[in-house]
Amino acid sequence: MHDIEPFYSWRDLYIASEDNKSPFFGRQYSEFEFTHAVYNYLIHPQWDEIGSATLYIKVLFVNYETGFAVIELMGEWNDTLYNDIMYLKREIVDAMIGQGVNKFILIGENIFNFHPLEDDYYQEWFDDIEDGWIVGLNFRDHVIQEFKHARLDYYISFGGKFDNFNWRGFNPNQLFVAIEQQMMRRLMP
Amino acid sequence: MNPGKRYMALFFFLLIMTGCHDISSDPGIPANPYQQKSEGQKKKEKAAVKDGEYQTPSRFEDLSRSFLYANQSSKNNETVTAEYYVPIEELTGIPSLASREVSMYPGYNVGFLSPGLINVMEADFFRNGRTSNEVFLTLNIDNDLFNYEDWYYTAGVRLEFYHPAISASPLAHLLPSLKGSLNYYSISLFQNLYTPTHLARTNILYGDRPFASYLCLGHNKYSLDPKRRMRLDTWFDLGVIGPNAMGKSAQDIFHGETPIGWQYQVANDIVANYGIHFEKGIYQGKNIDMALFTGGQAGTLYDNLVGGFFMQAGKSTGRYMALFQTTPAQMPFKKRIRYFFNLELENKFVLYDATLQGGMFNHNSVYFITEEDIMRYVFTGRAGAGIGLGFYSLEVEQVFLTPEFDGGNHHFWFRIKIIARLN
Repeated sequence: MHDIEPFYSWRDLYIASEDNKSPFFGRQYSEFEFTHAVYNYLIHPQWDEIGSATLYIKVLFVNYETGFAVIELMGEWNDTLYNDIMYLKREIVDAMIGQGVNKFILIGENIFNFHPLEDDYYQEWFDDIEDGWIVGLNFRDHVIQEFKHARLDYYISFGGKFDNFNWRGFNPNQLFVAIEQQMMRRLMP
Repeated sequence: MNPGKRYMALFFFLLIMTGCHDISSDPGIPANPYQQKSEGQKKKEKAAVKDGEYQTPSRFEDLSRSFLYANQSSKNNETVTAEYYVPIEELTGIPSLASREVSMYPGYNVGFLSPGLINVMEADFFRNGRTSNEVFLTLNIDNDLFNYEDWYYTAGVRLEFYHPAISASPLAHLLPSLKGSLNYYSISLFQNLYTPTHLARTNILYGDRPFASYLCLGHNKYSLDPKRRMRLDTWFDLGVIGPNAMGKSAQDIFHGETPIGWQYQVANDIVANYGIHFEKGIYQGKNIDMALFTGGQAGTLYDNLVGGFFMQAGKSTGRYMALFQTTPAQMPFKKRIRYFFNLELENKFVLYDATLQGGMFNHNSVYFITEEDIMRYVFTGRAGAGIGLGFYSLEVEQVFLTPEFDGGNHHFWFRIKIIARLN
């Protein structure tokens, strides 16, 4: 677990802690010790804490002109016990929506479990972005099943190419174009 | 208890103890079977993996399953090849804070970015399970006075403290867990008191229950698996039975006049008991859970086997999702309310009960129930209710017990359990 660090190859294009519009602006990261853990597993200090005990994120890229953000997630997404979606929505997403972001690409390779509660925050997120969308990339099968079981896949798009997408091969703007093309096909078949 | 049967009980206890291996090696630094192998054997295995010849022996079994799962889930149907191989010992150890194996600076852990490697780490996360970081303090108060009775199991108090740091105890390795589960660890201090039906008699009441009490320190583990709807509780108790357990003093607190019969209580002896309780959900509705359970205890206090049925209904977080019905502060007030009712029907096959038969090693008890008079089958029924509000929860339970010895009576007692989450 401690070896998994956020994707770093776009750092020459965007660093959240250096973006004054980002909720993580000015955040500093330890280079000497582990500062966070998911349960009893220490995780790489480059992951950003959002208030949740088990869910951590990294904002990999934000394009305020086009209005999209790429967010990598880490840990256990547990709405049942910790209401993690509230932290994600209130601490991060609301701030981004306020800056004009309405398209969200969530990378879920490192989400190991999902435990749902209710859809209130998902519905609110979906309503807030109007013409935008939320895409879940590379979430694990059992995690997607939990999302579907809780009927949250109405708000976050999974399935098809999104479940096995080689996103690291793109630069962020190319990734956005590729995802948007997929979404256009889905919304207007 | 004659020596032959006593040794049989001891043998049974040792059999259970030696048969228990830690499924999860959880938490902290997981077990590393690799270290137990010779250097030559390690080299041979590594070479075999590089050549793609390794046929998933036990050490790599779980790892290989995770590869297969990862490949199946990605719908590629790729063959598992050696290029993804990373020695498990490089992945499972939680490093010290001073560890330099991993660079804290972004972009330096280049070797750990392939999807295959990430899936190996998933195996680590799931195989070793997780330790809950929640801290609880619970207090159980059992008493039959609530049922207008004052005999047999007449009172019991149990204080239990749950903390993730308890997982570091060496005894934690005696307590197995379910694979990939969420684990809670606790230590407990408890005292139980047993008396005959007539407390004021000055002589020994032959044919009645002997006075007895025990005082123990327990090490407990609760392992929950919400996905498979399973729960495994294991515990190890150490303590004393007899006058050193201070049962008489405890009853003095609640009785103006101390029952004289405590002088005839079961003699001092050591308590070392191990218990296991496994539960499997058989039905889950929107607000209802049904389960079957089995388990038993072995040691110098109790030796028995149990099995039964459990049902819980109401608005709860989920029986296999969380140990208690407390809720974190970040939820709106209305969503923090929990309430539930439960029913448990337990069948017990009794092999040995020190509170009736006296200590296993000290045979100087003035009075005890002979083995022939012990009821081998005992039924316990429990009906309870609980409410949870935020960091606090209250559970109550009415318990019914059939006679435990020949000539004994049915017995009722009531339990109140107060739960407080501390973090």
